[in-house]
Amino acid sequence: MIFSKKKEIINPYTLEECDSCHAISKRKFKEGDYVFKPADKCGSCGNGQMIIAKIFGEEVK
Amino acid sequence: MDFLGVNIDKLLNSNDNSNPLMWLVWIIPIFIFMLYGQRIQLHVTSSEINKSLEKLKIYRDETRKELIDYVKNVSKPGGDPSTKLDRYFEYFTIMPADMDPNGIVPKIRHIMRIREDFTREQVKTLSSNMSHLEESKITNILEAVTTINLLYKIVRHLFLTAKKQNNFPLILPLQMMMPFIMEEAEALKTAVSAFKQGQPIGDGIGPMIVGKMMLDTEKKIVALETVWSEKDFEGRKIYLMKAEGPAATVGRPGEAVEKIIEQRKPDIIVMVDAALKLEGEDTGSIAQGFGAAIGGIGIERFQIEDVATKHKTPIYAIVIKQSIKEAITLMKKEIADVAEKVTSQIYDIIKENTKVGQSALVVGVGNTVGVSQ
Repeated sequence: MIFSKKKEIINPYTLEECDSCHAISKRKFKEGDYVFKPADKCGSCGNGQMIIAKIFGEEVK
Repeated sequence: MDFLGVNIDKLLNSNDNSNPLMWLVWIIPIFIFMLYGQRIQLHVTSSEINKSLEKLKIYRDETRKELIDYVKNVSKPGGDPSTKLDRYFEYFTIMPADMDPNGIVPKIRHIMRIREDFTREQVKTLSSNMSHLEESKITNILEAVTTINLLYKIVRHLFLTAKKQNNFPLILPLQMMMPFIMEEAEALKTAVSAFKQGQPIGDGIGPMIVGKMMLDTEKKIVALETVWSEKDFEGRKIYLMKAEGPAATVGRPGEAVEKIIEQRKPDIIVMVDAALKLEGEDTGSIAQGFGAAIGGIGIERFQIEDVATKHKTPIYAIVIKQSIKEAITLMKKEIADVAEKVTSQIYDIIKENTKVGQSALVVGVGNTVGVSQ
């Protein structure tokens, strides 16, 4: 059909950012995550605090 | 060919205009369509609407089951909440009489507040050991299920009335509206999953932008489920306000803006909100304008416009475009990615429209589910 719609599948992801070196890490969303929630210590610089900067959905291609 | 004295070839000879059988083959369908055309069309349209109606019923039943299971899960070891929840699905709101519209907004606000407060209290009674976050999620899911239920009932009513009376013109507007109704119902169904998991939705982009600006500031409650804080920016004072996250709430922005304006008298107001895009517009495109950027039935906008007019405070608006589905389901990457750009646009508006020593109020409008501050 001309107007048939593709069913899009969207996966949720969590983006963490270090408040010191601004290193970014992306992972799958876990229940309990929310934006600006403090996460673990930064693995890159060692002294920064990772914070959840964004939670978003990306379409599976 | 000649069977029983009838020449089939001659009888069906289409080149012969005087052939009575061929004449009938043309004329009978014309009469059928003249007399029964509308009924045939009604039948075809009815079957299409019936399919959508069945889909709506499935959506309603699935979301209802999801909500009941969710409540059972978070309120364990509580009893069966089905009876109580089924009663909530049928709640209605009677809007005030508008024959004399003067002073109608406070009446609508009063009725809406009663409904909100009542729903909140009823949700609390589902379990004594439920957190505020869970309560807010259940309230939002309940709202979604109630809306799907209402859509189903309205469509069913119009469909059955048209069928009962064989009234084709009555079914036409329904046929035209069905794609929009189904789009909204599908969006609401998808929204339930986002609310259950506490994920930010597209509408939460305003609170997300202002929430980031609020980090490392002292947050104070200004109205029900609404927080605000202060920070300095290039010699100016900025007051930041949003609904209190990560709960699923829009707060009371009207009341909060009124209080802040009365107390601090900011020189400008900047409002950031999600807005419905027009077909063809890109998701996450940004537009800037003037006036109170806030949705809903209008009571909050009325309050903000009223107090801003009273104090002659200019209102600037930034909106992030998205579809209805994107606004109430998990925030898309395209929307989340514009946060930094909008933040710099907010600072630009403040710099351009205030002088050193002046102040601005920045309001992040929308549902703050999954977005803290």
